[in-house]
Amino acid sequence: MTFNIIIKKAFKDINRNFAPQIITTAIVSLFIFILVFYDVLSLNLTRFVDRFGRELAIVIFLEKDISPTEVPKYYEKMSKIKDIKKVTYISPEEAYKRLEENLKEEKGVLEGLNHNFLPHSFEIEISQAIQNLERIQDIAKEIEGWKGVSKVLYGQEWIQGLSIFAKNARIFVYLVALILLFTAAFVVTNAINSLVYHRREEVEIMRLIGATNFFIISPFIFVAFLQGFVGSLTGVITAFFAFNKLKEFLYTSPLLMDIKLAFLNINEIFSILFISVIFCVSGTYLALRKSLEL
Amino acid sequence: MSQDILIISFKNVTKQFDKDNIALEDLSLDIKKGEFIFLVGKSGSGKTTLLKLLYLAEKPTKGNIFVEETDITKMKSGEIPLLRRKIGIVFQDFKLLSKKTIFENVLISLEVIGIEGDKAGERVKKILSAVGLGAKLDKYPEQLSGGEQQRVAIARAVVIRPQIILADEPTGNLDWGRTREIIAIMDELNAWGATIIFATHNERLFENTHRRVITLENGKILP
Repeated sequence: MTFNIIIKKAFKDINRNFAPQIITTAIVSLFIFILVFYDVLSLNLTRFVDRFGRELAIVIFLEKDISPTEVPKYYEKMSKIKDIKKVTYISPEEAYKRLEENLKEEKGVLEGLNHNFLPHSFEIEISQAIQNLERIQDIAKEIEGWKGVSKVLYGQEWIQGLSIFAKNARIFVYLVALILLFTAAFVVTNAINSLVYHRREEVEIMRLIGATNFFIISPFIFVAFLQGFVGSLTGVITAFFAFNKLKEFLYTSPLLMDIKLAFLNINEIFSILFISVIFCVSGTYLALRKSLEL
Repeated sequence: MSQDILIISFKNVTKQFDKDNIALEDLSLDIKKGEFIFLVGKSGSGKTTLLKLLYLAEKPTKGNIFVEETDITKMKSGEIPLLRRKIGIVFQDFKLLSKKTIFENVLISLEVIGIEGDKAGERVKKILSAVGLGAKLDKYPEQLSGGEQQRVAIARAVVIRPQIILADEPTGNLDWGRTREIIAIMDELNAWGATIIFATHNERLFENTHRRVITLENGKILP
């Protein structure tokens, strides 16, 4: 029963102050649009980096004097390491063949050399390499310490660079998201405060005739909820349409290689809506506590 | 029978705003259920403060106040609305909402206690008809005379059927004809069983009354 009255009062408030409420909702939409834009950018950058990261591998060279009978032991030991997806053995002959292919016209420099002059080696692929950049380093260091291993290559600088970039991009997006959400909550809180100011006489009278704090603040909280929800939903929908337009535009771009651009998944969208509503409602509640001296 | 039951009791109540401003001093007063009391005294004698203490717009500096045997001075802030729902307050300055019709002004009293819809609408129409404003439901306060506005304020106070009605100088801005109308309405409410405290400084109102008259002077009750 009281709930009906609260909803009616909230909609009356919106109706009476329609323009300021719409502007506030539009500002929330804009902030959420920017937030989603950064989030989608970060997501696709990660996918872009992941595309290259798939080729990340560790190459292990054994000591020259390791006999072929000992090689399976190393293979087995490597296969047992956690997070290793695939271990490929490269025989000295296979390595020689690859070297020849790489040298192309200059393969003549190999003339006179024994086809077995290269050491036994392995290529290791790591599960979800791009999410496991630190793990690659750890595995490489672990194998480097084994007896009989002469060298371990894993493109340390490239991996570290990727790792730092990926981390910083996420931190940047989280910071931007936090600032935008706080700003959106601040705008909504101010709009509600102005609503309270216009209704201060009514609030005073309602108190004198026995209205509870819940009854007084609920319509304001409901308006803040609507602004947070409608504002963020509009922001997400607008960002989705803008993303699709951009995708159509970039569809044939060679820059994308075979990477498919992705939008936020349903869980991320719900999280943005939920957090936006929580920020707007809690900001408004705190402001009401202060302005109405609850 | 109800005349013997205490509904309000002030026990040694003092209200001091600052060092040199004592509004009420060691005041004790018992009011029985169904009484109609004139609270009289000059401006600044403490009438409004006494009424404010009853609906906890102010808290006493010392002493206790009982409403239906509950010590309201010990009430928590969350309990105050429940106290106020037992009390209908009529203010001298009406305190009507200028942007709401008189129907809405009265309806708000029912809304705060969770009554809405047709039931609430019927009750509002009935009470406004009873105070002679049944034909002006859609008017705004500024479209009404002072006496009519005061009747809206009374309707708002009594639509929740309170046990106690506090009227703070409700006829202060009205001519004698309108004043008599308000007194007649209060008489009727009292006849229905409401306890009424009617604060006024207009001696003409209580000159030949059979009602109890409590006179305040400098925050004390005169014997």
